[in-house]
Amino acid sequence: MKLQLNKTKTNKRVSKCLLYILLIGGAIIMAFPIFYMLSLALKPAAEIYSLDLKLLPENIAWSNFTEGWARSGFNKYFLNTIIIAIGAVLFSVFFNSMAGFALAKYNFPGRNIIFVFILTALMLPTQVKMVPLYLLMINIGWINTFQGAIIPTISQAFGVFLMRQYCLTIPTELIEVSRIDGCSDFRTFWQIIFPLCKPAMAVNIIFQFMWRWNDLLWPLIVIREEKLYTIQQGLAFFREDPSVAGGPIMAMSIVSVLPIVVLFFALQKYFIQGIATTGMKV
Amino acid sequence: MRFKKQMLTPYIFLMPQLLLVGIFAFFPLVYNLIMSFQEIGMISRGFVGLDQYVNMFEDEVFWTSLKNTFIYTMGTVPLTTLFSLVVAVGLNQKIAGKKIFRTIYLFPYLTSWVVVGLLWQWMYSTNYGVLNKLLNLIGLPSLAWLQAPALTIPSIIIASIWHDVGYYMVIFLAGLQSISPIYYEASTIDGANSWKQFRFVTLPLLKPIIFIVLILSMINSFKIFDQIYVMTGGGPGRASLMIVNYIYSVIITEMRLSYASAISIFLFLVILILTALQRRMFKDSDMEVG
Repeated sequence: MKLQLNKTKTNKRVSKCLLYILLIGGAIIMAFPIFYMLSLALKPAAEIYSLDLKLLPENIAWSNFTEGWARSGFNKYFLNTIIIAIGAVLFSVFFNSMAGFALAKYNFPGRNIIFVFILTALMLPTQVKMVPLYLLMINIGWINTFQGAIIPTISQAFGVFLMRQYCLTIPTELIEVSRIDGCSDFRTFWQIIFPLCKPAMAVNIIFQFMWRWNDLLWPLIVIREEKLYTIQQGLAFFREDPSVAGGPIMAMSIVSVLPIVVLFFALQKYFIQGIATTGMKV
Repeated sequence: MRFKKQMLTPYIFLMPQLLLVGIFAFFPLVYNLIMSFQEIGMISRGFVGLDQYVNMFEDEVFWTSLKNTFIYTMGTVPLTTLFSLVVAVGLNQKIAGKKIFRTIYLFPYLTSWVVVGLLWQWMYSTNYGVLNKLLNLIGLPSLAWLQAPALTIPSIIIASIWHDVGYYMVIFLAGLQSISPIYYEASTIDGANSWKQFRFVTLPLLKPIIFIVLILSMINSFKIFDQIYVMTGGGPGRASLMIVNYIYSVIITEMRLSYASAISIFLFLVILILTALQRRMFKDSDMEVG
């Protein structure tokens, strides 16, 4: 009996060891490209274009960052992307929570049809509506404008769905009490519901921001003027310039990822929650 | 009067979102469908019935892009799902440094597909790439990762798996955490070992989540665009041309908008079917993600 117990104990220890080896091995594979990106960004061109490849830079070349930043208009691209991402976040957060609140807390004719209608947006990513949206943008003169880059992207259903689920957990009594107090429904929404929804809104903000920040396809279609390029466009076209070396490209890639990394570490909890919910998102 | 105003309130709340969905999602769908039955000439614009779809099925490039997207999907989906499931199950054990592991695995998901493309292009570089260097170190010959037609899609698959594993891992972790510990306690009393627990408790209870991850990742695979745009441009030749990249070039380079509409509708139908399957699964399962 004792022997049996010892055996299972050793077995457990062995399997735990194996588990750690597996997880650490995986983590090294996952982290390596990031480490390598940092290494490339700090290597002088002579070390990048060398057949004798070293993992770490021998001479640190911070100039990759300054050169990359100066060579093309990354300051412009950064500013453009910030405007687009923040614009999309503001509109999404506001409109999505209004819609989510109405769908969760009111009973009205057509509610289910409206919900299904909003959810159809789930099945219509940019990829399947490039032609009509492109023509629409041309017709209303939104090519090469910020509103063109922002407004069509906020029709997504993810935020509405998120806010609806969250509003369902808010007790209806709260709304009824403030109604009895003579508060209009809009004031109730603005002063009571909106602040209560902060956690769900945080999730929505993070993801809307990240999607806009990292998007390439929609900016490619709607923005054709260099001075309005987003950061992803800037990177994609930077690469096509044959005079640009690998170092500055990697340096600018790192700079482009930084805002998302900061957002991630500041709001990790919401980030994780959000992904768990994006199980819903298409 | 008061009563009437109250009735209107929810509609007013919904109005902005409905307008947005109407104009930027629903209208484009309908318009796309109409356009796919038309031919737009320089001056004329007329209905041509199913001609665009006939063109599509006779278009070799379309079939190539469909085949490539299919191969990419078949490579990416099972591997990503498998790896993310294994990591999630591993991280769901009692281990030290759980959060650090989770952060490391999730980190690539923060990078945009453009950055993924740029970075892996460097890793795959034939002469200066670190992967060939590693191959040489263990005595293997260099590979033309992105230049050899047979290797291009597998190389892109590797980069995609790297980017997505953490994302699906988090979804799986949420699913695993929603499994009641009672099941594990009961199976331990019954003398089940870890493998048996995984096989007969975790796996069956996780089935809906596995299915959802499979479908999500299939939909995402069919939407692939950025990596191709940055890494290969669809090349060499058309060896890595994907559906969305083909639609993009039909619109922007060839300016054949009606034809692009027809392919878009085809892609929409694929996504529609996959989404319908996913919704159905959500209804059938009483387990919710998140």
